[in-house]
Amino acid sequence: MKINEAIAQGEVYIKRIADMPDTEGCKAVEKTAKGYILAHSESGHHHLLTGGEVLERPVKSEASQRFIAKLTQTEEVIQDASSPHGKHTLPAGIYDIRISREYNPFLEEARKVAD
Amino acid sequence: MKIIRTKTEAKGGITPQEKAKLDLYAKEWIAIALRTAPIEAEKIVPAIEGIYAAAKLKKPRVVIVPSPRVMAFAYGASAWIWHCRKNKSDAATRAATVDATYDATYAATVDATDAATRAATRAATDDATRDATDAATDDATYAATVDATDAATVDATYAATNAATVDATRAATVDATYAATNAATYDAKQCFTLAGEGGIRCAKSWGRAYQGGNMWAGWVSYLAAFRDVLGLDLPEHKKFKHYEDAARHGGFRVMHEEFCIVSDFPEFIKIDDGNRPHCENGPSHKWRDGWALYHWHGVKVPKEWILNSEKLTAIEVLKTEDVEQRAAGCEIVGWEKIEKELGAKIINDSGSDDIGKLIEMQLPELSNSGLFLKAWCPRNGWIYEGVPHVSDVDQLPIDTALKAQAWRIGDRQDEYVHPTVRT
Repeated sequence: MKINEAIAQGEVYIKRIADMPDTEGCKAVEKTAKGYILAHSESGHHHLLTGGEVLERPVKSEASQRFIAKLTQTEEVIQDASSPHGKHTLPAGIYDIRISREYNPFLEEARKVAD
Repeated sequence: MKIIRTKTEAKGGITPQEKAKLDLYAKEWIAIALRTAPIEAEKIVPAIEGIYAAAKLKKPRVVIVPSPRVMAFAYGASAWIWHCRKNKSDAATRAATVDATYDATYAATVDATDAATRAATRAATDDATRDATDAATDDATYAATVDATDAATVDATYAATNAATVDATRAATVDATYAATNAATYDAKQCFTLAGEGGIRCAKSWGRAYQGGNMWAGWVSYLAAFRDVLGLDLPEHKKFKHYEDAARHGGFRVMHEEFCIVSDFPEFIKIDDGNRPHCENGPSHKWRDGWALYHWHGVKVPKEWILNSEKLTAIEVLKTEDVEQRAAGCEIVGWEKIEKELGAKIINDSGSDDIGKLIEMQLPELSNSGLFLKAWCPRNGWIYEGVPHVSDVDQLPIDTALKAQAWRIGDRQDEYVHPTVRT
């Protein structure tokens, strides 16, 4: 995966970037037994990054969620589900990870995509 | 690699003949996982008693119930009543309900049967043999059944116990004349009547004490195949046989030190070509007490969407928060009908299903039109997601599908990089 290339798994968007961005205001994400939870579905099926170091970046709205991941070795993005989105293999590097949002025209507000 | 086969060793991978036998073995277990013939008390009761005996626990009362939903509520009431008797207290605190649903029995029975056999099998085999056997049994059985069996049933049982809790509590405490309108509420109300709030809380914790029975067929087939196909004959197999029999002859069960509640098999399970639960005009699953689940190609949907699909409107579907359910609803209603009903107009067609089309629709309840991105998701199929008319990131109008994709992840339109791969 090249610098500035992106991939997606369901609502999780991942772009490889060249340099570590400013981490002011970021919070370390706690790692679970299966990895870092990037997003969970309504059916309880988490999107997970298997390793590395993950920071959650500050955002302006609850509809958005962003992470920075620093991988020192190859890791995988998986979904813990019986019928999961396909997995991705990420080489060592730095990644900008975002959870997709959508707009509800009835409420006139954005929200995170839930599946 | 040399193939070794003795009663205590199975190493060196598997032969083509063994692979053929394992394929047949997996088929047998797939049929067990999807079993719809009624449970037989004379077979399941000894199996359960055998599991408890293997774990050196006293003989439990074995109770057969018609569905996992009844199992959950019966378990909640019973676990709480036993807890109160034992502790001479009915204070339904969190700690007390955790104690009442303590999973020691579950752990002891698993340790004595499943885990012991797993460890012994591992010691008697090598990676090549395990991997090949796993692929031919557990993986194959799991892939063919789990969506329609364990996954669908766990999800629905949790949903039933969680959703009914509020209704049951309200019915029993606030409105004495409340008429239960559906069976799930009725079961919850009975649980509340018998065991109060503690019973309801324990019912929600049924998962702490559950074993999947036939719906965990994949794993059981893997362990049993080493004995039946590859010829291992280990001391642990004697105790494991009870666990295996309980998988052959029973559905979900909850294990308590005093009792074990076992669910009957569903009356039917309907699946699509991908082995996902699905039925276009009725329940995908139905148990003999009438509990039924409704799925559209693996996605659980409201009953009314299936039974009254002609009345399902585009607006109702588009208001659904869960994107999987929304995608399923759009398929039920039909894209043509949705787009016609809402006067859909294509604002931009990217030419790529992955990037999608930007569509404007007239929403009857709103003065302004709504913008939707219609794109292809490899897992969920066509998805509709709302986007605003103007991006809050760079204040530019959203008038193409690609710009909608940029807004979706909070990017400036001139910085957005579209994924090369989407799963």
